[in-house]
Amino acid sequence: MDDGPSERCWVHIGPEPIDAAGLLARVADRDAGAQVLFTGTVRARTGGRAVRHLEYEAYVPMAQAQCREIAEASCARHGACRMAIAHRTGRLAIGEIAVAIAVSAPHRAEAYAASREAIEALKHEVAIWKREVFTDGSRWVYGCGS
Amino acid sequence: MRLEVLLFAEARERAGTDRLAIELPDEPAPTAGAVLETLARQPELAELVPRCRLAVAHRLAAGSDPVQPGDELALIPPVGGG
Repeated sequence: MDDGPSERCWVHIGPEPIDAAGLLARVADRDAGAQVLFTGTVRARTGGRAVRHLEYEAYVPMAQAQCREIAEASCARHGACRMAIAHRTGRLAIGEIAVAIAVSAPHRAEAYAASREAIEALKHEVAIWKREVFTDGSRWVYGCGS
Repeated sequence: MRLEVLLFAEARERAGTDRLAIELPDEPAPTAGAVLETLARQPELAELVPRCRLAVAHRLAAGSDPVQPGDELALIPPVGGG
């Protein structure tokens, strides 16, 4: 489920691989002199254990609405032009992109600030859950890391 | 009043289902807090519910927020996206 034809913010949550370059293209804006792309990827190890893969589960309509609000608020607060957020669901292998946030703004200060604020808000609030799968078990991961 | 609560992640695993039907009295009018208390009485969810919030119509609810029949309810364990 995508956001509709949004002027400023675009959000997609789904199982398809994330096209980071495409996300950056979505925030192109004649008034923007800076673009920042954040991608969160699956690490090979966590807490000293080797990860086989991750699984993400989302309450999609709620997560979609929350991401949209986060994008709108971050852009408004920092004077950014556009923001696009993508979060993947389902099974992800090491190195794959789980979340990506692209933002454009007149200057880099706004772009960095909006990007940072959005990922922090997403990790703290959005109705998405992560399960780490190891060779010898699995666990749901809570908390936001850093 | 019969209400259905969507379950996700660890809640879904523990309950063995992605939705749970619960019964609450019509009076006093049910609240999000009352729904959580009822869910906490399910043995398989008792340990998890205190760490969860309730979403009503895709928004996190305060305990005193009213719940109407037909509202979409979801048990939200601690999140881990991003």
